[in-house]
Amino acid sequence: MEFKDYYQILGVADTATQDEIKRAYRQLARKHHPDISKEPTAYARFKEVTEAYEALSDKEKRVAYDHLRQSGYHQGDEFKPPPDWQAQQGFSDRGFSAEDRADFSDFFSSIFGGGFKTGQGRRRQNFYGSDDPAAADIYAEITLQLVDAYQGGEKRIVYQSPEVQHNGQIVMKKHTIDVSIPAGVVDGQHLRLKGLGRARDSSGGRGHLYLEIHIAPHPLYVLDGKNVTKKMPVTPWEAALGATIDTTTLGGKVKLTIPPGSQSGTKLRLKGRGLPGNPAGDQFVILQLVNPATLDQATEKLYQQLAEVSNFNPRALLEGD
Amino acid sequence: MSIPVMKEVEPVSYYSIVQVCTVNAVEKSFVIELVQHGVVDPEGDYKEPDQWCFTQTQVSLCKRAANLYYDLQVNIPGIGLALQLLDELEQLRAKVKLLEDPLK
Repeated sequence: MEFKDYYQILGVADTATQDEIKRAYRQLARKHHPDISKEPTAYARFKEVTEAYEALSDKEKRVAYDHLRQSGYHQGDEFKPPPDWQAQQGFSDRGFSAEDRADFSDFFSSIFGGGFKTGQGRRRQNFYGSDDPAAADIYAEITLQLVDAYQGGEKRIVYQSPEVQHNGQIVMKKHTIDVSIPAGVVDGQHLRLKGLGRARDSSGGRGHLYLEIHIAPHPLYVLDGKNVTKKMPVTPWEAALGATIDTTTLGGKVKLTIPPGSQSGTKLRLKGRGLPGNPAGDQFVILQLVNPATLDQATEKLYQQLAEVSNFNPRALLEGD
Repeated sequence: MSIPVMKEVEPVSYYSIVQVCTVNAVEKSFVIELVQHGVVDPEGDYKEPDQWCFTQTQVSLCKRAANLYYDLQVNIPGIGLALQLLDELEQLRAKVKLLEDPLK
């Protein structure tokens, strides 16, 4: 595995005080927080800075980490923990549940044995055994392609749930199941899978699994709830004279009528052609006028004729005449 | 061993406060505070949290609020402001995306 230079990740010197480390972390966390930044790398960066902070903000962990780093490792170097490392440091599994460890880098786990779970670390803890009926409910996520959300169908999910063993120890148990996803689910929606939660203490019944749907970004369609939007290049003459063109929708090809006198940016609606449902979403098409990059002789001649004949001045309002 | 198929799948349209807490891993008191500060506005009697009814959009809002609260230590009035500004930013980004690189 790769060695991570936590000082470099936080952009501080290895002599930085705890206050400097905290300040650097807060600035970077705000900058890269996945709910704020739209950079594709935001989540990975946020996880990285949080992990670096987790290591350097704890005095004991920092001393241990400094000790390793001083033996000559640099960012990206191949790293193997010394054979008796965990026993020597006494970090192994201290105070971390299996659930917490799910989100660590291997590097962090190999040094400290466990840690935090990004974004969930200080949230409501596993309240197994409480009287709240919701305590038996569990939660998982799945990312679908847009076409899967449109068509629905079976998808395999893997999730973990805590189970009590005979000796009273709680372990995370992995489950694999195929779920039939209904057609027309939207981003952020939850599906309730009855009886897949953990066992309730007294009643013997089981809680539910809430599965959160995420839809992966699509190269052509922009998604907004059940509606999808797509850009459509058209020629200047199609926009001026009107035309009927073929366009693809999630459900296949349809004819799209472009009204005469359309502008670049004109938004047309294909009713009910978005994600299915009651009511179904719509597909929007935004027209983009495109000129040919090079003109052949005949086209150039026609354009010249047009220039001579037309008295259209799109700048009339700008120039006040 | 064959993999079981789960057919009893029920899309959730409206969420109770208990469900909001489950899917976002937050305490009930946190959701109540969000409502008291007007960050989210569920349907139902304001005085009876157990009867509140949240839409999916409101659940996502609670999730973002919880992320800001737990990851960045933003307080609840700050969360209200941040979410409002992020929402405006999102709309502007969408407009910019449509205006620049028209064919991409």
